[in-house]
Amino acid sequence: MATKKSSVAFNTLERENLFRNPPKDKSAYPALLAAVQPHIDSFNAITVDGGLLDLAREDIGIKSVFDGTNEKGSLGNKLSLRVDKIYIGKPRLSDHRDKTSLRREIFPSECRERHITYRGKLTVKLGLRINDGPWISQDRELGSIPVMVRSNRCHLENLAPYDLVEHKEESEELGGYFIVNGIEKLIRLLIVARRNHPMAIVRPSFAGRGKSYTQYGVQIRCVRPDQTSQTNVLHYLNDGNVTFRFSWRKNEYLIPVVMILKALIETNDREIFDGLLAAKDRENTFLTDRVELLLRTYKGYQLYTKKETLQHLGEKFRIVMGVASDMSDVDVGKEFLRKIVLVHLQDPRDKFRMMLFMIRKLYALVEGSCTQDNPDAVQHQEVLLGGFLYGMIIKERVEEYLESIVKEVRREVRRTTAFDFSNKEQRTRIFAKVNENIGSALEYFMSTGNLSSPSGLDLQQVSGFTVVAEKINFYRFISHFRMVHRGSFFAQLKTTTVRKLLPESWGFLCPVHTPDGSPCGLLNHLAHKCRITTTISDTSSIRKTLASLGVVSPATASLPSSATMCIQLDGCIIGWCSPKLARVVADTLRYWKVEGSHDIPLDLEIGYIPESRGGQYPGIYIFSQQARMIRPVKYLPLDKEDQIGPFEQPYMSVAVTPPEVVPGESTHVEFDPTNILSIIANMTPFSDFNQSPRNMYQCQMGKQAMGTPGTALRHRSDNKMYRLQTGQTPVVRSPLYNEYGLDNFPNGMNAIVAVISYTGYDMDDAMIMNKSAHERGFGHGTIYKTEKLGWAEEKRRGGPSSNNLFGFINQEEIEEQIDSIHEMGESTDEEKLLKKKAYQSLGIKQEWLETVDLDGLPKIGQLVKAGDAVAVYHEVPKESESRSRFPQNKVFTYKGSEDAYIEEVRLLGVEGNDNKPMQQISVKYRIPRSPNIGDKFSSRHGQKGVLSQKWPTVDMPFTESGMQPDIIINPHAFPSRMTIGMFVESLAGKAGALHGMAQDSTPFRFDEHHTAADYFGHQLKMAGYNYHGNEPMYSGITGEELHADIYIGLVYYQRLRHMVNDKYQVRTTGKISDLTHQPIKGRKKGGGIRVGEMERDSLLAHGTAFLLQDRLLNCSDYTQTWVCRECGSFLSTTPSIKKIGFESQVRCRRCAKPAAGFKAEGMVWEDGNGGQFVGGSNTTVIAVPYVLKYLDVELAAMGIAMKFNIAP
Amino acid sequence: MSTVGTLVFCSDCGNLLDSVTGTDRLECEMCGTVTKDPGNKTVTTQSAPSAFPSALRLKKSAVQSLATEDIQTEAEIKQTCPECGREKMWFYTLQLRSADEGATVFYRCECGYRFNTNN
Repeated sequence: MATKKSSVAFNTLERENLFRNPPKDKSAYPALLAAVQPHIDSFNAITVDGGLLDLAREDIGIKSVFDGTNEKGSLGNKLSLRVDKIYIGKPRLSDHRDKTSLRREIFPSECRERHITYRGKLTVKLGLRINDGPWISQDRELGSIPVMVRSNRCHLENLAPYDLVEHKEESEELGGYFIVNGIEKLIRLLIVARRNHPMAIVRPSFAGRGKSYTQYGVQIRCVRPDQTSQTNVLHYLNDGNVTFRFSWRKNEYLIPVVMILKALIETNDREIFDGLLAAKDRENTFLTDRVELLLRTYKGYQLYTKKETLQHLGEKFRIVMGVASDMSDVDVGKEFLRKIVLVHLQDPRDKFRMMLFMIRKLYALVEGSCTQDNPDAVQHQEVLLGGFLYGMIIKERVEEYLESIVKEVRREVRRTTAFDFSNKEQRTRIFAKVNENIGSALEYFMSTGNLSSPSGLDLQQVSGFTVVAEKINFYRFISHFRMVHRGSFFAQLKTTTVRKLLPESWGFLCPVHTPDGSPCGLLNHLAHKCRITTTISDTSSIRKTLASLGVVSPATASLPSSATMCIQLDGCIIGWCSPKLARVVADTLRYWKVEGSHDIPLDLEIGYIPESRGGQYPGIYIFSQQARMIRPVKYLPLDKEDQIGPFEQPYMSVAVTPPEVVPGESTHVEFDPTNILSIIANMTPFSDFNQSPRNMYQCQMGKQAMGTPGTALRHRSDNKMYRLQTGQTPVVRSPLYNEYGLDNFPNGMNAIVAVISYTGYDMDDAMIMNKSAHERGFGHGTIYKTEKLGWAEEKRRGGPSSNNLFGFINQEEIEEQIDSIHEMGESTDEEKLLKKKAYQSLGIKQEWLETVDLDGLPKIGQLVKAGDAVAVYHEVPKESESRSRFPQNKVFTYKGSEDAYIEEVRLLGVEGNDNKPMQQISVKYRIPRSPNIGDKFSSRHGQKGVLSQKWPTVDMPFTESGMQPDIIINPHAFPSRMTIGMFVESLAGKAGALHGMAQDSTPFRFDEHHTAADYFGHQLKMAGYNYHGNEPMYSGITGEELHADIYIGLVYYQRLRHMVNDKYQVRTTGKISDLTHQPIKGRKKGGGIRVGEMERDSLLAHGTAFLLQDRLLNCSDYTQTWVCRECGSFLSTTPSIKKIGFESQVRCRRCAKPAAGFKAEGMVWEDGNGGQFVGGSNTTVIAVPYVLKYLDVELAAMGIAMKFNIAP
Repeated sequence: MSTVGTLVFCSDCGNLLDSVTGTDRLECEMCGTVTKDPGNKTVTTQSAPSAFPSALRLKKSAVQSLATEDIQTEAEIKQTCPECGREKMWFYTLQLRSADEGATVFYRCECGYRFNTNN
């Protein structure tokens, strides 16, 4: 762990040295690496020798298929398939490409820059056997799968900072994520039910499963050695019966539990009865009645022996299990038990015992002698690690691959009569037909986060498994790896119970660091000292040790009647003892575990649940497997570090601070009370002084700050990146700031802040900035945007490919003539025209050449405005075409609305084909963003505000020593929000700046007797300043002393990424919708902001009728339209055909009558179709909203006429 | 011993035997062994003390349980009821909106009138 205790000191020289000479041995910040370790270790676990993929391979077993070509009735030859080995290679250049290259590794930085996926080849060694012949091996390449950075399949594994820098990475590159299409993605940590521990559950929905089902159940999530899981549930029925439920390939099945018991081992009713009920339970008629019923109702099946039962099960589940057709029913039954029932155990006898235990627990729950377990408490939860999930998906895909071969063979056998396994060519044809691209399936999973799986992997969700590791600043980046999600299923739940902060989470999940709003309480972050186990601890000596303590093994024929406490190791019953002995066993085990004796691993979790009246079901539950949360605390008897887990913690007495230790009761004490906070929450100075929601807000805002995403920015091409140009190290920080090396990624600036109401521009959370501070660079930031230009790569080989090329089609011609054309004068209009024509003759425009070089690519460092050319391209002329029909030069333009500089240009080769010319370039723009009025800033205490004025220095207030604040905030920001921590930070910062030292801001360091105000006040006094941090100030405008002393000090300010330039939306006129003629929405399209119903209501309430009309009609879809005054219709009006001597008029067709006989010249009018009419001239023009006309049309379509009364 | 309470198991194979056959011979349907029916046995069933709660005893108990609706969660405040004009109303608050905004106060009058305010 931590070698030396970090201090808060600035360590400027040390840091500078580290930055100039990155260490060549190991990272200077091991704590940072530890933060992402669970991700990397879990990925490594799948690929190491004997790792999860090997275990998965064994679990998949052998798939077989028959050709059925022999005489009738026979199955024919048997083809068996198995997987002998699964390899994942390191990312390398394909053998078919660039054959002259000697260095064939592809490094992560290249993938980021080229927007491609960092992936290694997946190869499966397939074993084939015909009948009982020998196994033949064959390697099949199944595509390339994304590989985790810094894992054992990455070239950066175990590289020292120096080498990382050499490979264009951060010196503290952490890894733990994947690179998919150039985007860094990671698999979210997910909360799942604790493995191998039966949970008593009361859930009303259980009662809805069928007739006589009740709300009681016992659920266990069994995890196989390869980390795939299968959930088994026991349901209690009204009559006392118990059924076993499981889901297999997304279908649910129910079986009487006695059938499972009888199938597992050769047993009888007596043994089941004895196994369920201990001596003292036999007096309890509640239990005996139910067990009797359980056994008696099962008699109806008339299945007595193990063989009969297995046969019955095998017959029923043959189709479901999809087994080979030559398997006997008994074997299918065995396969069923192996694959579905309590899969964490191998020995059927262990399964039998565990099943009995679960039934007993279920009866205890129903009887009320034990309470339900809370699935929302971390006590019954573990973390599904990304690597394990990845391994599960690979396993399923490989199994699916085998099955698809089987399916293809079957189809082939049916189609052609003479199908022969031994024919190699025919085999190859099968492989060609099977989808062998597992790589693209995994790439799809990583890029979308969607899981497409036939089994559902025993998970409650199908999407949202991956997130983009955004590098807005380093805080945000690092917290992605510490983030634990409860599962998107729970996000839809209306109840808030799953979101509640439970005391069980103490020390494992940070109570502060969760977002507010919809993901609140579902998206948690690990406490910074909490780690997740990724390996199985060695428990080989546990059974022996327990025996030496007097624990009775379950294998012994008779258990003593006092042995009522069950001892389980990872869901396997390993012993029984009396309640009295249990306490001794648990205490002794713990002592030995911390001591390191008796071969008991330190990270073993010993959950001792004592007997209670109606409490949790008692027993000793020992856990040693992966995916458990674990954290260090000090074990008092030995004064050594102990690792404790969330299952055991509720039954332990852990004092928070040494003075809180209760002699005789406390066994442990926290190393530091701040251990319960996440990395980000620990960065809030003096958070114990703040109102709690403010600390939550800061955890959000710290992640939105425009900071330093990294130091290797030149080698990145993120879509959008924020960078603070003038970042500083905070004067006030905690030692963890140094431990995590956050000085490499400054996140804000130290500002002199005066709390004063000055000028009124600081109202309502606005802040005033000193204009000179702004000019000195305070808060200056930059946005980098990367845009890919060019043509999408062809999807499939042989598909249509683009025939475009970058560059001028007539580059040589231009190069020859351009200088002379440039020199042409343009003093007169004629000369200008001449020059324009000269450019035109070359097929280019003059302004293109200002931003584009002669190679057709953008000039680096060039300022571009909206509409400027950034790259020139042309179509490749076909040989047959004549010079006159030659394709023209075309341009890609800069589409952003803000002026930007061309920062970098990358030429991207076509992936997978060396001979094709470049089809894509990637352009990185740099947009400078100096602080602007309307930009958002925040201190580290959830005190956000917008910049309202850049006030001239001369008009800012000043102190007696002539200091002027950088920032002015309004005192009203404090009373209701109670962020006292900000006051303390101001005080501490001021004292720190005056004495030239860093200040420790760790929470829980001060108390009533030793107050922060006194501590820092004393320091201020020593520096000759006011003890309380107030100072007399003078108005910058009048020069008079202000009536009150002003609280002024130094606070670390963050500039948040929300800036007006990205948000402002104005419109007078502009685009309208075709259908309604109303303004369109959307900032990008130049749309308006809707004046909605509520806005309308308020305008009405204000009585501002004209304003309302202006908004809703005049500025929206004001239209003038003809209407017939008589019949009141819009739609019947029609313009008459213009005749000589007469104006065209709009007449009403409905009110008009066909002209019959002779009529005066002026009376008859003609419509467009040649019909002649008389009358209908009583029409007029009115102003209406256009949608009204549209409504009329829609209604007319339904046969409804609208009539308007026109007056006057 | 092959009898536990009312349950009789086959002494040979442990199979649970039918409880009533009419005769005193219980034949195991599995192995055919005949066991003698031990005859009627008295079974005493004890119910848990909580099975039939006595209202009288409950009153004396140190632990008193309250129904949710009996719990007084409201407090009195000096506020005139806009409906009936009573000068005192009951109120309680809930944090319904974002944590950085004020709580919603729900007022209730004896007359049954209810209203709420956000502040």
